This record gives sequence, C-alpha cells and structure tokens, in this order.
Amino acid sequence: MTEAKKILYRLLVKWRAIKISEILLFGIGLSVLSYFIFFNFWGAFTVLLTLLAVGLVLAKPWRMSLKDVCGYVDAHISQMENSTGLLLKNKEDLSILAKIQQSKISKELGNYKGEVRFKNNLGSWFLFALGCTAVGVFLYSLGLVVPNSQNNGIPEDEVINFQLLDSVASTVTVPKIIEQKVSVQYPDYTNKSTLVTSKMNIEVLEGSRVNWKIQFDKTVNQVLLQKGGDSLPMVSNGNTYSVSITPDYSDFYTFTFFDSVENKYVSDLYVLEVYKDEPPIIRVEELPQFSSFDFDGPQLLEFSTGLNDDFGVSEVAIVATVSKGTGESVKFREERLGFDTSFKKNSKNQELYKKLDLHDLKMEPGDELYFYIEATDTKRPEPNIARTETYFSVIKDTVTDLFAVEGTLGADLMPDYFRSQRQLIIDTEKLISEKSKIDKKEFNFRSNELGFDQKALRLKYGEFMGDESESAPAPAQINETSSEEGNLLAGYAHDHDGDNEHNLVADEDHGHEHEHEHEGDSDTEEQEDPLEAYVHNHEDPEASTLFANSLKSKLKQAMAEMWEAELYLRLFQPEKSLPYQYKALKLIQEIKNSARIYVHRIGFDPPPIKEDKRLTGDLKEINNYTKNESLKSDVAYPYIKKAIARLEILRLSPDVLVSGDRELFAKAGSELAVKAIAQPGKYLGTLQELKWLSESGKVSVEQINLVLRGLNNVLPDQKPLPSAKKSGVDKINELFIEALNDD
Amino acid sequence: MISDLNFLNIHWLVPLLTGAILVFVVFIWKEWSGSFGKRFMVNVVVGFVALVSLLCLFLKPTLQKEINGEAVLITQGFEKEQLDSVKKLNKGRKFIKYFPGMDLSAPLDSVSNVVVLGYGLKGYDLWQLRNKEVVFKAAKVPKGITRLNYVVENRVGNELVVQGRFESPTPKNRLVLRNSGGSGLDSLVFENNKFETFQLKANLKVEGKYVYSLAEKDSTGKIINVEPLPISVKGVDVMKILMVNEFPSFETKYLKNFLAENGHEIVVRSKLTKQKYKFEYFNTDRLPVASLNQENLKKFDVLVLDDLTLFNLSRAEKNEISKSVSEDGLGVFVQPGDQLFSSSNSMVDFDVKKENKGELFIVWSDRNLEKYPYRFNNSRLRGVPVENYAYVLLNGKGKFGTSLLKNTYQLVLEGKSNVYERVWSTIIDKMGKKYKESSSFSSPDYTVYVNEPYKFILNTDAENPGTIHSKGYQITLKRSLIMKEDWEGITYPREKGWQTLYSSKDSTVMLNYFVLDTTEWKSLAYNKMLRHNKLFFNDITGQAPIKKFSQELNPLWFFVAFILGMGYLWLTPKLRSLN
Repeated sequence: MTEAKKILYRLLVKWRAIKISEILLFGIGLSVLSYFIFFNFWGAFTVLLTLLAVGLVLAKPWRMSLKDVCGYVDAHISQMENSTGLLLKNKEDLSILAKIQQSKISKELGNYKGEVRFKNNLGSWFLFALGCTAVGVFLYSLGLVVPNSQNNGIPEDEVINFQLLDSVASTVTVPKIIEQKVSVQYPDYTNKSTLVTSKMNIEVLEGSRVNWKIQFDKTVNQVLLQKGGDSLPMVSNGNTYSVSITPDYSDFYTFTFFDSVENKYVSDLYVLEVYKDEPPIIRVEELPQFSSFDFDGPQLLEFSTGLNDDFGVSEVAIVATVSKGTGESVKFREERLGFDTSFKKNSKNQELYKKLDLHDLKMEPGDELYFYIEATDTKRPEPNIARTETYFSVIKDTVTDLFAVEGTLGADLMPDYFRSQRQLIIDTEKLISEKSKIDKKEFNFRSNELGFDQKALRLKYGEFMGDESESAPAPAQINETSSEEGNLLAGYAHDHDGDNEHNLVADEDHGHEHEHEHEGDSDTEEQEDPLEAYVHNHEDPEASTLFANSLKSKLKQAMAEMWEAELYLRLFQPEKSLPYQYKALKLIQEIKNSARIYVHRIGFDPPPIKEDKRLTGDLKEINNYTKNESLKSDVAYPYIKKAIARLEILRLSPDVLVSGDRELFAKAGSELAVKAIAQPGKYLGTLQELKWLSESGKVSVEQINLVLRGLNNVLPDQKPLPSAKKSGVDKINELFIEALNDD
Repeated sequence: MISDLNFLNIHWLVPLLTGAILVFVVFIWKEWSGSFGKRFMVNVVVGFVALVSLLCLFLKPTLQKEINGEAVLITQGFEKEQLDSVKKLNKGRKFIKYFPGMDLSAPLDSVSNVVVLGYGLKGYDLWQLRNKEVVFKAAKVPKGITRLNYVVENRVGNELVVQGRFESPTPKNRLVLRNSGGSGLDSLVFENNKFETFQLKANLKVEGKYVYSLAEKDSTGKIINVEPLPISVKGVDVMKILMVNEFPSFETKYLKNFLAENGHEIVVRSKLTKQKYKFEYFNTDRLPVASLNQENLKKFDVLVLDDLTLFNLSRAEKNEISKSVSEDGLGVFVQPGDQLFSSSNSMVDFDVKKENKGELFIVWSDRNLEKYPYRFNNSRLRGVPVENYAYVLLNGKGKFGTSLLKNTYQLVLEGKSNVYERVWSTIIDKMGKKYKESSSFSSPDYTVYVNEPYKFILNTDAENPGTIHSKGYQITLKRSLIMKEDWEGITYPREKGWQTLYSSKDSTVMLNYFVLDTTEWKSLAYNKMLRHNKLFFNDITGQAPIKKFSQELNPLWFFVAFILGMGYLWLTPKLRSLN
C-alpha cells in the first residue's frame, strides 16, 4: 500500500473513532444520570449499551469508506485539487496524466495530512456527559433521589427473617421480602448525605429521620413496625410499605405483618441505636494552669489548641476575665478573644494557635487573668458547648506588701513609717558594703538616716514600755519620706518578722493604753489604736502586768542596745553599730516568741452536775415523738422474675401459652431491653427469643432454656434476708425442749 | 402333732360329721346280728376307717410341715462371678430374678433361706423377706453420686448448698451445678480419689419451683450424665420486729434501716428521757408498745433489746417477756454491751467467758469483725450457736439470743454492706418466731419415683382430715399411732414432674414434691437400697425361726383306704356265702 493510502486509512479510522466517541459520550452521560436516579449499576449499563446500539445504528460508522474520506479531504483541502480519489486507484489503471496527478497528490496529502480536521461535536458531548453526571450528583446530594437498594441483592444474612406465628397454617406460602431498606437522613447541620442500607440493625444520630421501606412479593394485609411498646402502621404503596420516624432513644424493633389469610408473622429483633452528637473536644497544649509574670519581663502566653468534633465546630473563643484590685474594690472585665490562626468553620479537626500578650489586655501588676476556651459545635437547635478548665495568669505585683497579724486577726497593724530591726540591719549591711562606691557625704547621710530610723524604732518600743516621750516618735514630714523608703525597701522585708513584731507591739500597746485609761489621760494615739476594735483582753491572764513585767526588762535591754546602735550610726560608724543591732534583734525575737498572741481554743466545758440533780429537770414541754414511715423498696425486675417462674413451669410441661403469658413476656422484654441497649451483644439473643415467646403460640424447650439462661444472667444476686417461718406442731420436739429447759 | 392338723374345708365339718355319724349308726344297726362277734367287730372297724377316709376326701385335711427350701434372689447390680459361685455351691437352689414391686410369696413359698445378690430390694418390698433367713451379698457401691444433701424448700436470697459424695469419680471430670435454663452456677473438678465429697453453691434469685441439675461433664465439656435437682424457692415473709432501746444508737439505726428497707415491719421505741420515748413505725401502722406485756408482744416475731433496757426492765416486764418467749414463741435478741456480759440478770444467762481477743474471723468475710472480749461457753444443752458470732438459747417455744459483735454498723460505713447484711440476716432469721400452722405437710421420703409409694404426713388438729391430689383424686389418711396430730398417707405417683397435695380442709396447706423418672438418680437410689437392705437384714440375727406350712394330705390315700374298706365289706359276705 502506498504511503498516501495509509494516511487515508488512518484518517478513516480517526473519523470513525470520533463518531463512536460521540455516541459513547452521549451514552455515558445518560447512563450515569440514570444510575444516580435508579441506583442500579446493571440498569445503567443496559442504558449505556442501548444508547450505544441506537447511536451506532443511526450513525453507521462502518458505512464510512475511504471514498468518503477522499470526498471530505477534497472538500476541505483545496490543495488536493479534488483528486484525492486518484489515490485509491491502482497506478496501472491510470493514465499518465493521472499518474502524475496521483503522485503529486500523494505528496500533497503527506504535507497536509495534519490539516485534515473532521468536523465533530466531541467537546459538546463531553460537556453533556459531564453535565449529566453533575446533575446526578446534585440530585443525590440533595437527597431528592434515594438510592434504590440493590434489588434482590440484599445479602443473605441481612434479609429480614419473618416467622409464622401459628404453625397451623404452615402450608401457606410465606410472602417474601424482595426489597428492604433503611434510609437515615441526618440532620441538616451534619452535612452528611443520606445513608441507605439494607441492614436492619442501625445506629443513627440523634435527630435523624429514619425511613424503612420493605417490599413483599405478594399482597399482605397489614404491616406494623413495633418499636418498644409502640406499633407503627406502615404506609402501603402497592406491595411496598414504609414508615418514617425520628427516634429519640435507643430501642429494639421488629416488623409484624398479616398475610392474606390473616396469619401473623414476626421478624427478628433489630437494634435501633441512637447516639448523641458529642460536644467538641478541646486540647490545650503547652499551657500551665498557673503562670505568673514579672512586671518587667515579657508577659506572653503562647499555646496551641486542638479542636475535634464529630460533625464540626461552629464557634470557638477564648473567654478571658481580668480582675483588678483586691478586696472590695475588685473589678472584673470580661473579653472574648479570637485565635491568631484563622478559624475554619464547620471543620471537624483543626489546630489553633494563640499568643496572648497581657499588655494588650491592659493588665497591670497585681492584675489577674482567668481564661478558658469555649467551643460550640454545629448541632442545631441546641448546640453542644464544651469548655476547658480555667487557666490563671498573674502579673506579679512587687509593690504591695501585705502584712498581717496572726491569721485569725484580720488587721494590718504595721505603721508605715516603721522599719523593723531586721530591716535596719539589712540596710546597715548594705550601706557598709557600698561604702567604697559612694562618696562620704552620701555615706554619712545614709548612716544618719538609719540612726534616725533606729531612734524611731526605739522610741516606739519605749512608748509601748510606758516611757512617755516628749516628742512624737515620727514627725509628720519624716513620715512621708520614711514611708517612701519603706515602700522601696519592702522587697527586702520579711513578713514574719514584721507582723510578729507588731503583734507584740499591738499587745503591749493595748496594755499601755489600758494604763492610760486608768490614769484618765487622753493620749492622742489612743484614738488611733487599731486593735481597739478587735481585741479586748483585760481578762486574758497572758496580757496581765505580771507577765508584761518579765518582758519589760528584756525590752529595756533591747532599747539600750538600740540606743548604742543609734549612737554609732549617728557617728557614721555603721560597722560598730551592727553588733548592737543584732543584739537588739535577738532580744526582740525572744520577747516575740514568748509573747505571741494566740487565741485559746477551748471546747465547751460544762459545769459539773450534781448526781442527785440528774434527770430531775422539768420535762413538761417534752413529748413523746412518733414517726411513721414506709421504707419498702421496689423489687428489681419484677416481670423478669415472674417470667422465669412461669417459663420453668412451661419448660417442664410444655403447654400452650395463654395470653397472660404473652403479656408477661412482653413486660419482661421491656425490662430486659433497658439492659440490652447497654450490652446488646450479651442480651440481644435472649431479647429476641423473649419477643418470640411474647408473640407466638407455641414454644420449644430449647427456646425456653435459652431465655431462662439469659434472664437468669440479668438478675443480680439476691442478698439473704430474714424471713418469718411457719411450721407444724411438733409435740415431740416441744416436749424435748421442755425437758431441756428443766435441766 | 394333732395341733398341726387342720382341714381345708373345715366349714363342712359339722354337716359332714353329722352325716357320717348317721351313716355309721345305720351301718352298725345293719351289721348288728345280735352279738358282738368277731366279724361284727372287724366290720365296724373297717366301716369306720372307710367312712373316715371318705370324710377326709371331702374335708381335705392338712398338716403343718417345716420348711427348709433355699432360694437365690438376684437383684439389680449383682456381680456375675458371685452368681456363678453361688450357682456352683448349691445346685438345687431356686434362682429368682427380682424386679421392683414383684410378688415373692409364691416363689418363696417353701423357701426358708434366701441369698440376696446385688443392691437388694426396694424398701417397699422388704417385708416379703421378713420371715426368711437372708444372706445379703451386697454389690459394690455404685459409681456416681451416692449421697446428696440439700434443702429442697428454700428462700429467695439464701444460698442453695448442694453437698454430697461422688463415688469413684473419673479424674479431670467436672461436676456442675446448673440452673433451670442450664447455665452453670458452680462446679468442681474431680481429682484422682476413691470418692469425692462435694459442695456446690448458688444464690437463689427468684421464687418459684425449679428443677436445677447436677451435670457430670468430661474434660472436654461433654455432658456424661445429668441428674435433676428439684427445688422450691419461697419468697421472704415479712417479719414483725420490735426494737427497744434505752437511748438511740447507731447500731439500732442501721439495723432498723436495713430491715425496714427490705420490707420488714419495724417498731422502734427508744428512750429520749425519763418517761418520754421516741416511737418509730416502719412499714406498719401504729401498735401499742409503750408497755412490754404479753398482749403487746404477741404481735411481734422478734424483740430486740439493748443490754441497758434489759437491766432496767421491771420484774413484771421480765415476767411478761419470759412468758411471751416460752408460750408464744417470741425471739428476744439482746444487743450486746459490756454490761450484758459482765453482770448477770434474772431473765437470761448466756454463759460467756472473758477472753482477750477483740476481733472475730468469719470464713466468708475478708474483714475481721470487731467483738466484745468474750466468748460463749456453749455448755448449755438448749444453746444453739449461730456461726461463731451469735448464740441462741431455746426457751419453751421461743428463744433468747445475743451476739458478740460490736459496732457492726462500721461495716456499712466501710461499704461492706454484704457482710453486714449477711450477719444480721442470719441472726434475725434464727431469732424469728415459728408460726404454728393449723396444718402442715411433711414427708420422710426424699426422692420420689414414678409408680413407687410416696409416704407423707399431714400434721393437723382437725378431725378427719383428708388429702386431695392436684389431679383431683382423694387420698385417705391413717392416724399415726404415736402422735395423734399426725395423719399418714401413701400415694403412688403416676407422672413425673412437680405434683401437689392439698389438705381437704384448707387448700392453702400444700405439699410440693417432684416425681423422678426411674432412670434418674440411680446411683443414689441404689446406694440407699444397699444401706436400707443391710440395715434390714442385719436386724434378723441368729437362726431364723422354724417355719412351717400346712400341706394337704394326699387324697389318694384316703381314696385307697375307702376303696379297700368298701371292697372288704362288699367281698366278705360274698365269699362267706360261697362257703
């Protein structure tokens, strides 16, 4: 074959392929659509074949010949000079002119073969097929079309198994199921497509709508769906029966129907398990429950949060509360903060990150931040809300310095302008260590200041001692500076020193004040006494003068040491002052330890009663007291117990069940169902058999044994109880015991 | 010898004798020839003999004869070798195959000595060998359960305890106690022993009549043998309990709560102060309990007192309580206290001894129980210990009881309610009054088989009581010779399974019994037969009494004598005339 002929052949093949492809695309489009409508693979395939056949018959691609190709080429490529047909002819049959033309054309064909473009609609057919598929998917996802379960394709073990209740009519041909399906339409918010299955044991999400559809091969009378104690009639449509419900709780169900001659059939028992939409799960990583920040350092909290939910999270927020101030002046401010990473709505699983700067929350030292993360899922109408535990964060407040007396006394008795002996020692030591760094004037000034503080302290103690001083211990102007200094130094202070010392101060102060009262002297300080309102210990033996006297000598000694210390400080010799300060501190501590304030914890100590006075009180007002109560508890599983007793009788003498039995077994069944929902694997078989017993008229010993075994397992062990007893008169026994009594 | 003579047709004696005398007189008159000749004398004698012979032909005389025949009675379970050796030894012996209920009078008619081979005869057949000398060659004890003990009539909540003995068990095999549905409740694996004593337990959960079973399974779980175990489970009957306390205590509070929550009728009287009381009524209407007298106490099953109340009782109250106990069957439980054990009181003495132990070990509890440092001497004849923690003294129809336990409510607080409940259930149950029923059934027979006699006793005060079977037929009763309230009856069950007998006077009085098929509990039945037979034949000690039987004299002799006599009397005149 010549080169040109080969090209023509290829063109022919291509042309045919195009034609067939068009038909194929058309067929595929329609068959895919039909599949989505009918959900039948083989049906769709048949549609495809039919369409292909019809298309082929109409288009007849086999009719296309090389001549047609030549004609097409001639018509579309002018360079071929209408001579393409020559290429088909044998060289020998042609005239010379024709031969020349043929060879020319064959060359031309080689050159222009690429330009031969068959007019086609492949693109549009492709779009058509795509469109059909899209329409199908759209219809399916909208739930407008529900997949038809595979006809007769129900797996063997899933076919609803009906049993005839009365054996009498066993000759009747049993109506068969030819189609069974359950479709579960999830609530809208889940965005889940409708689930269709032929399995009758189903798990559905709370709020879903469940539709059962069963089709029989012949007419039956009435089909019921029995769920728990309810019987729902199924709506018939020819031989197809359907019913829809929105179940609220897990339960068991069966189908029953009557055939044309009123025989009753019951199916196996199936589980309808309703599960709840779980609230979102929030994981917080790298975040301690408590964190504190220094004022000057960075105040950043960084953490990432993982969110999980079964159907998607709709909202997440950090709920932060900032508290400012303390005590009565505390103020709260709440804010809802977002995450740094953008939150994807309806996502089931995502990681979020947050960098929380406490400055942005306008937090100041001492402020506290409480926050937790709250996530809401997509559930409607009432979403599930989950929240984490609360995290605490605080910016350390280095300024406030809380002094308290003993925990039991909520009064802060620290006069601001006082510095404790320990503070003085610390300051003195600091001054000594800094001696080389600071100039002499500064050194002397600070030493003098310390000397003043030492004096103030001494005077204060002296005041408690009862030494009346001419001058106030701390003049007002110094008060301010000292107070500032005191605040600055507060960081060095030791709480326990301070408050303990001040307990002592307060104590002694009060005693002192007491004296004043007796003297009738109205001291100005007396009014300021902060303990006045809290303490009133005139009668406390430990606050008596006798006791205080022993302390006084020690205090005096301490004051003497203070005096010496002050002297050396004033002389700008803090080194020499230190030993005295230490001595003073030691003494003060000793006093403190021996004179702690404590509250007596004494129980009620009644006065002794004289024996002869006992039980001689006036009892007129006291009456007999009578109480009537019924404490009987309900019997657990009453019907299961009755059913066991009845089944045992039936087991030994298989008898025909009476209607009372059926009722009993049905009630026992509902008791068992509660258990079975929790553990279907264990009790479903029993429940199924029990259901049978409650429906059918005949029983077999095997059936009864099975049910008995199951029911016995359900019952908890019975505890032993005392019981009244009855017995006949046994004269011999009585005589015997009487004889024993006489021994 | 003459005393041994008797006549079968003795009732014809008088007419026949009269006739014979008449005939004889006629004969003498006819023979009389005027003189007492030699011929006359001979004829008279011959005539007399012939007449007596004739008379004897009709009267059929019998003579007592000694019996000395021997027989071998072959019963179920005989061993072949034993039978062969017996056969070899005594060739002339009769061999009788025994089956239950057979009539042995004919085959053992002329037999005085009997050898019994095998398990022996059924109890109801033994009487037939009463007058024979019997050698009982017992078969070996059968394989399987040969002894069984369990309470057939039980109560909900109690433990079903099945005890027994399994003869020559196969090692590795299992014995399983199963409930009526067939699920295993308790089991035991046999070891390589000659016999195995077993104890299987199960909690009884539901009232009703059930047939539990004991199944023997091999090591692969295959069932080899199943024996039925009929039980009848009753519900708990409400008790009426009065608790009297000198002051409210935790012990009483928890006890009353436990009892009341389980439906019992509780009345609590606790003293508030002088003459003032707190009365609490649980599950019951108000009852007069202000004074403890016999009338008020009659309504209660149990009276619970604390020891202080006991000591503060007046003499009159003590009398009334004692009377209630001995006459009405009241149970008095004294809540223990130091005073109870250390000092004595006039009403009851539990006889305790001090010991140092302050704790008590109880087999079924994992925690030792706190107790008072005493123990019961248990030296009283009428004292009944309740496990190891309580003690009951029978007193007339009722009883006094106390326990050693201290602060048992702690058990509840520790969450060991089961121990607490079991301890107190046992004690209170033991203390309970036994109500005398107007009628009640009982039976000495443990196992009942189809078509075998079942004996029962109806205990009643009623005159001429009767019994009706659930199928409707009546069973007449015979009054017992010893106890005038006992009426004995026998029935022969026709069908297996549960059956019921009712008293004809009161249909609420009934007896449930389970009739077994003859194939069931064979080993047990055989072992019972073995023991029963051994006992029975051991009673016949020494030489069997000489036994005689009346044997009819052969009438041929009389006939011959008669013919000869007649022939002589007929022939002699003929011969004489020829001369």
